[in-house]
Amino acid sequence: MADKPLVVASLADHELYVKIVEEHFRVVWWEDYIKGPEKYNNDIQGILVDAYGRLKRVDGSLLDHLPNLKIVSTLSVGTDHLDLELLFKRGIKVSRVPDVSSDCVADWGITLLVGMARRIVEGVDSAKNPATPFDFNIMGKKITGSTIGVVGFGRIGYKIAERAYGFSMKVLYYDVFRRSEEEEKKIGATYYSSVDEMLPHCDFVILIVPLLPTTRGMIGKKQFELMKNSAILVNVARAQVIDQDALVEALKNKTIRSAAIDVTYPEPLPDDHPLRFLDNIIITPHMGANSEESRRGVVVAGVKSCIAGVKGEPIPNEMLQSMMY
Amino acid sequence: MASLEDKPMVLTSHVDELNAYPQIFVPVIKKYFRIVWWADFENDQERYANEIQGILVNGGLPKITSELLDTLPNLKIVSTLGVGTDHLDLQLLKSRGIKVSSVPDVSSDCVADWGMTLLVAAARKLPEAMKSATDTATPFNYNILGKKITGSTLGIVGLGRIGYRIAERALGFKMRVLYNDITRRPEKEAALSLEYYSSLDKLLPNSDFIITVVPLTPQTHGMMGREQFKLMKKSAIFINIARAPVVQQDELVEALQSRTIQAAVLDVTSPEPLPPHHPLLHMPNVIITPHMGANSLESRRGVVEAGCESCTAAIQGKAIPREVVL
Repeated sequence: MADKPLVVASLADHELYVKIVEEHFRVVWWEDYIKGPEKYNNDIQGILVDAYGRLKRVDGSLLDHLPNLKIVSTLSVGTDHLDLELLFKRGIKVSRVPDVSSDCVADWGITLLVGMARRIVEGVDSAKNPATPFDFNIMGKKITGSTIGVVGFGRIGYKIAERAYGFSMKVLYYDVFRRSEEEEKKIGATYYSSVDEMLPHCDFVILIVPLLPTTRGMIGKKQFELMKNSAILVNVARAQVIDQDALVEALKNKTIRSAAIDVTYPEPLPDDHPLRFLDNIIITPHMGANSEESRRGVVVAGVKSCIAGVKGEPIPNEMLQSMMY
Repeated sequence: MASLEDKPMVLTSHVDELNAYPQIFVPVIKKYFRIVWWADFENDQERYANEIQGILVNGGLPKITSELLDTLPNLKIVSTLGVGTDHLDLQLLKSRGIKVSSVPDVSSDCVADWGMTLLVAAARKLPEAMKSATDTATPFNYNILGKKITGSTLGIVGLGRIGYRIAERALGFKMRVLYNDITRRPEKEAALSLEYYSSLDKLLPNSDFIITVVPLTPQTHGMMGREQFKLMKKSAIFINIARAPVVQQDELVEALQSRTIQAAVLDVTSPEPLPPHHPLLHMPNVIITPHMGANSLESRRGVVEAGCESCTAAIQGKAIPREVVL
């Protein structure tokens, strides 16, 4: 027991994680750590963090107290909750899990798109809720043959486009990098170097970019006005990619038709937040990666990286400074 | 442009925003016909009976009985505004020399889109998720885990127009697609790399998702019952977008209650709607939707338009598009 290195872990409260983590480490869970950090600080060699736990940001306020920290392993694709500059400056290793959950997040992006397009939540309510009349005429938006604009064409964006193509959707995409001709041809994708130029052509817009200074607030009042009135917006990226107040206005005024968002700021939204009361929105609790396979796979991969970092061995899925956009 | 008086007269059911034609489709019909609504016909049959040359059937109404046909000496065609003809007594109509048309193709894309929508929403628990994030009485839960879609196996029962389109969409998700049909379709198999099963019972144990997309016939009536649910994986999800009687509904309830299968999604039920205390309405692993397969404006309007075209053609004695050969 004394041989196992000590890590501090801030993860979603789920039995899935506990067994896998405790197999390899002595763990102080975040809720216990904050009660008496002095007991643990000198011994902590690794941090395990995800998008769901109480610790929302790994920065100096924590790092300053951990002299023997070797690695921060985030059990997620995103690294926007880590102060990467500071970590690299201090020579602390960083790992993330860029690929294990890509299929599931792509599946979820399309699930939100088709679910909102065809108004399934209203349909279920109509059929199952005795307070709501049974309605044969809930009309949705036709999916086949429509145009989707994919904002961000990385691993997940491309997979989303493959699924859209299966519905005979016309695929447009924006990214700072352009894909190869072969990759574009496979799914009939058309490249746009400017989001603003792409938006007016889209029946559906889906966001799947990392949160960076260049993507923060990239969808705001101007972009909503450029979109069709009949367009549906889906966000499976990070909440801050959208100007959330502008989204509220756009939905209230029907500047766009509706939205389906898997991420909000904050998470969860306060009880009285206007987004909860709109009838043209689907909100879900950050579930992109939520199949058992995927979530387990992410934890296994993240723990593997963390062990390597603590042991000073080559780190699978290491995030290097050169990888920062 | 024919004036209103010149247009032929057709009989149809009624307007109701929830249960029948929404008002927006009435102008489509009026382009072709003078309309006699059922309620007016019942009140004053003598006034209209001789002039009615066609009947438009929507949502199974009006019901075509021999008594009704007896009152309509100049009826040429019954045009049903949908894919199914299981609600029509085709033998009766044949015996009276009345033509029949349906609309088997206009809504295929939308119904296929809907089948996939139901599949992914059930797999990944979308309705539950929405509640968790928006209903303040339900805790916000990061750990609603669903069934992985990519790489899973879909069994399609019925590879007609809609079944084939569902296969196309499933392949986009990198699903493995199996199918059962009374007719083997080698070209379609080859085009999409599908795996054929001549026996439904052999298809079932290999599938993570089963979707029924068959017409209702004596052969398909009750095809999914206790034995079939037992053959399915415990983790499997069953989706019905065909007709309710394809499923032995009480046996489905049993299968769900005993966790013989994981979950079910029904766009069609017996009856429609289910009575308020029906167990299916109270099971968390059951999604029910109000017969929405074709429900995009484009599709629904297109179906009405196509039905009117068929009806007009028959009245004019021309070749009838989408005729149901009796």
